[in-house]
Amino acid sequence: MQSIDDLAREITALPASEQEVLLDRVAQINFQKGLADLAGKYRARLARKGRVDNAVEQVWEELHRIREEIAKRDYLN
Amino acid sequence: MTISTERWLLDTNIWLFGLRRDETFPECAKLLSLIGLFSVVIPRQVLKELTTNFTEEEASSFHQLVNDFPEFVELSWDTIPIESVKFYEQGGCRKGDAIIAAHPERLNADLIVTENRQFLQMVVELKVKILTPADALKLLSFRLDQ
Repeated sequence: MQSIDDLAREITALPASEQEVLLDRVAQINFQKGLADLAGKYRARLARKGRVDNAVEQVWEELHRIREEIAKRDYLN
Repeated sequence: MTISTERWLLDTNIWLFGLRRDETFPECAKLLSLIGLFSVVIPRQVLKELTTNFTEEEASSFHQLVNDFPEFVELSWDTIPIESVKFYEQGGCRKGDAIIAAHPERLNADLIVTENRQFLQMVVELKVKILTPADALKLLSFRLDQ
């Protein structure tokens, strides 16, 4: 495995445009990793509560209810 | 490769079905996995709905993630003028959907992605496009092929 310094030297040897693409790609992968971690936590919690396989209709009903409750609180009139 | 100027509003159902990896809506997870190819704007209403669905720890992870990657996701706590909300309510939307419909113009979002069929069918005078995640994926695929 390359050391961090070697890797940095290799990256800085790339043209600026390629460095930019590389950094963008690294950021995307890190973001996706964070999202996957959150999905894992969320699914595990739903599974623990026996809610991961809730009927789609039930999930929709809950989403609609929450949406309207929040909307009515934010816009009283 | 980022489709740099595209700002999409992903409705709450996209986030939640995507994070659940719901088998009925596999396109939601797929779309979330492509954030970065487009950027996302999350309005106040969606933020509040997500927070209601998350535990404190999940909400904290979500906010941390969003804060760490502002180039991909932007939060907006701004409220929408009531006149805009009423406009969409008069167009047939329920209040909550009307709030979502009113946001893109305010937040310079290019389109809304949702699985909410009632919302998709009821909004007749929306000023931006509403796509299902399946259609959004086709659009991304088309643009990446170009």
